[in-house]
Amino acid sequence: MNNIQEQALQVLSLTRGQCDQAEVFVVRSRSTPVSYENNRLKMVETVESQAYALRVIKGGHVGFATSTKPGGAASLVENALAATNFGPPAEIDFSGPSPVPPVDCHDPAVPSLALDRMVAMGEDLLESARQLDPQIMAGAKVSKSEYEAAIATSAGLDASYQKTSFGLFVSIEYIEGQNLLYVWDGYGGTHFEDQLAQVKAKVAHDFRLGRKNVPMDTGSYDVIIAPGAVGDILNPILTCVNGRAVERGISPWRGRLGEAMFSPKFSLYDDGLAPKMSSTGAFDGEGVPMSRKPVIEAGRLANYLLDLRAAKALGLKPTGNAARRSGLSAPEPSSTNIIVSPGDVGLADMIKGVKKGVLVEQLMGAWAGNMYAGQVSGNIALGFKIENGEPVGRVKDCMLSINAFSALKDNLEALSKETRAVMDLSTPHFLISNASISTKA
Amino acid sequence: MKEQLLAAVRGKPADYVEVRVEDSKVTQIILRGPNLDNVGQNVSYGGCVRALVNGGWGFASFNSLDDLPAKVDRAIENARATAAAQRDKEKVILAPVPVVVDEVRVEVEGSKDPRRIPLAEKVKVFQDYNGIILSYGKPISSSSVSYVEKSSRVVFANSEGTYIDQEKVDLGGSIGAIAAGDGHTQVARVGFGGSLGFDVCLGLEDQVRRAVKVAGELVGAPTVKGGEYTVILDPRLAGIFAHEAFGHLSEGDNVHENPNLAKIMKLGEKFGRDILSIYDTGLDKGARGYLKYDDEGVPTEKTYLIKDGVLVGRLHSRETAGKMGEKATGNARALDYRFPPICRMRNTSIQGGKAAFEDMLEGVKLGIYCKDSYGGETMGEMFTFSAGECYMIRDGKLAELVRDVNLTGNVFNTLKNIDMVGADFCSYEAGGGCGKAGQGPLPTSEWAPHVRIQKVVVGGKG
Repeated sequence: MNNIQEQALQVLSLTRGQCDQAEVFVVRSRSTPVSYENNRLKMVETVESQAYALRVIKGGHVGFATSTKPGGAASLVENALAATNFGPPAEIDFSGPSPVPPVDCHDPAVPSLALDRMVAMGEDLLESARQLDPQIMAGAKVSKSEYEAAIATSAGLDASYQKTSFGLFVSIEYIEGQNLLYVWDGYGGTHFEDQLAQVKAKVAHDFRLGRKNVPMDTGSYDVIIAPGAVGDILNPILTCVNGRAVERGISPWRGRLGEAMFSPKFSLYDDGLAPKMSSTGAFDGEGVPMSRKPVIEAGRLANYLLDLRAAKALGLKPTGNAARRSGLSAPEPSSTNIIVSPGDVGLADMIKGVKKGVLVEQLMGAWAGNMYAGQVSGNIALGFKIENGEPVGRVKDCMLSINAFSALKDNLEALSKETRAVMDLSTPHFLISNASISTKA
Repeated sequence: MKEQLLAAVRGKPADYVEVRVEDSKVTQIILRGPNLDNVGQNVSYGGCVRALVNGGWGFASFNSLDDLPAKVDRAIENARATAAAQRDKEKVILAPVPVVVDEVRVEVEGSKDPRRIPLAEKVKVFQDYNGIILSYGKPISSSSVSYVEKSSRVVFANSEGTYIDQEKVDLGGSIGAIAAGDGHTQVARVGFGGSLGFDVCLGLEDQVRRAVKVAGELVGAPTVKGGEYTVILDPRLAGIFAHEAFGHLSEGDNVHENPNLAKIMKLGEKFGRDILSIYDTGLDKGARGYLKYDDEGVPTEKTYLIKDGVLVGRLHSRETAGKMGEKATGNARALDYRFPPICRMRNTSIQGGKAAFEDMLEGVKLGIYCKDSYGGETMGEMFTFSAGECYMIRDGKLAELVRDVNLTGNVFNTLKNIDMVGADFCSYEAGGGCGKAGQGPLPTSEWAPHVRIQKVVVGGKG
């Protein structure tokens, strides 16, 4: 295996004497997804990629370029230098050396996982789904990947780390007349973990409950937001603590650190070091060590998520939240793993306590709302009506509308004791009162 | 290149093999507030091989073309592994298509060719729009301007002898004004896009001024009251509706192996009133959804999905067409070399009708006129999309501006509830694109006139 850390240093050496500062980021990955569609194995893939990203500072401006072309280093440098004629003013210094924190994100069991074993897991998921009903159309995916990132800067940083990831996913489509039911569940993390039983049980549970549709009326309800839908409720918060939005004054939360904004029951952490979680890594896209910090602590705004630039602009320390989407974009602040602290109510008791409400498992289209206004408005793609403490069937054609800012302040009644990880979000169930649901007249 | 690629896929121990090589340049200009946030020039280079063996598919993608035969072998090995694990041993039939040898070049007048216009000139265009926004003053707090241009050369060869060397240009973006006040932030945007000249980015000043005004007004607007309404969609939103609510359901990979869905999506069934026709086409030159050949080397066409209210077609890859005994329509598209082609839309359009906008308003006691979109999502028969600028309709007249409108519905009911289609068919283009199976944003277009729909559920406090 040729060393990507050496390659990063090689590109860096090409910039010497041509600019004031330089930062080279190299990522290499190899993944093997095994996909099932419509009750059958569809495709085995091998996806390899290697990408180079270069930022330079020259004449007080930042230039940026990327390339996936082997042997394309010279034109990469040329493109980045050309962009300094227009680039944003250089308000930052690229990272210097700092100790790479110990991090648990590499599992040797992942690369050595045999294709046969992955196929067998996929078959198992498919078979268990089909056993629920012969009319079911099931899909599944089992995937493994290896990832390596290296960074080198003119300030002397020279670091790399490796991580692995493993995921499995199953989906069920069931059609009765013109009524379609989709149910899915999955697991994703950096380590190989046999989560088949949990995933199968969740899908079976949701399928059984979802087969019967029950009527709903427009009105205000108690809603229990399940982990699969919590991400939609947290989206406005993560948008408003994003350092770029704060720095530019688009976030309504600029200058409000320390302020009590939510119910004291609510604490949310961003943790780039959480063992085995999918967004865990040693350092971020600018070489700043990843970290764990509260974003909301007992209802108070505790930290923004910052890259070098946002930190500089706000007079704060970078938090290790610079992300490079698909390895090729310029670094931007983003959350890593999000961890919501559990509450003290058992989920079963939480459901039992709801007289008239909805258990919301999945929302659709809620991302399209106005995040800076806290607006979360989405179709309840999978949700179950609760009557007198019992889930009684699936609700359809219903739009849930919550203002995340006011709901988590005034209407957060409880958080469950149990938590569940949905990719890089680990969260309890949320019980929110007085939520608006609109539906057909 | 031609001989190398054809030789790599010819005579292999597989039922079908294809190779695709892409060399793209992506230019990105992003302005946020007074600053240029990012100007980047990116090179995206790589290739992929897809192989079919005994009903099983295998795929391999890579950045280096060195040792291409080994990469072809890897895709074939993956296909064998797929076939070996399949229990039903069902054959995959690829719909027959003509063998094509062609070279496609994008021809644009020199002064408009985005590939020849210096970066400095492009940056200035967007800085000028940004200046219009930022000079407005309160309540405008910031701006968000983005421009993405991708010019690529994609070379495709398959084991049937097809060889296509195709140039593509895709450009688009949005110019957004951000207004803040009263603890929330509102955005109004101007979208633009195309597949030919840079001129689609010019002359947007009046639209930008209008967006600035709307963003300011939205800050003071009340939120919409949730419930069921008669809605009139502007052409942009009507196009998004056609794409989200119906286009995705028409994609052949949903239906071809799914007898229960095929029963619902039976050609000849009535899906809407006689006034409704929806088609998807790759033939509109200049549209972001324009495409001469898809990523299976199949020539594109204009495919009617609904004609006079009746379901008449769907969007096929060679595999889904072959399975259903229908014709390949040129809808197999891949985002780039990292992905295999899947069934995707091109330019999905609602055909123009006869109604005037004033006629649509008439008789609406309480409704909403919805314009522009932040996007939407679909799952099975359910869809949602959000609107950017909405006015209440009261007693047949446009009334106050309302904010934060998100609509939802069931496609089967909603299509039947389209009771008026406007005569004002409009070829609107915007940046961004469509996402499916992790492949996005793929350039698509959505053209339409105004349409009126009865009984649409809108989220909000009751």
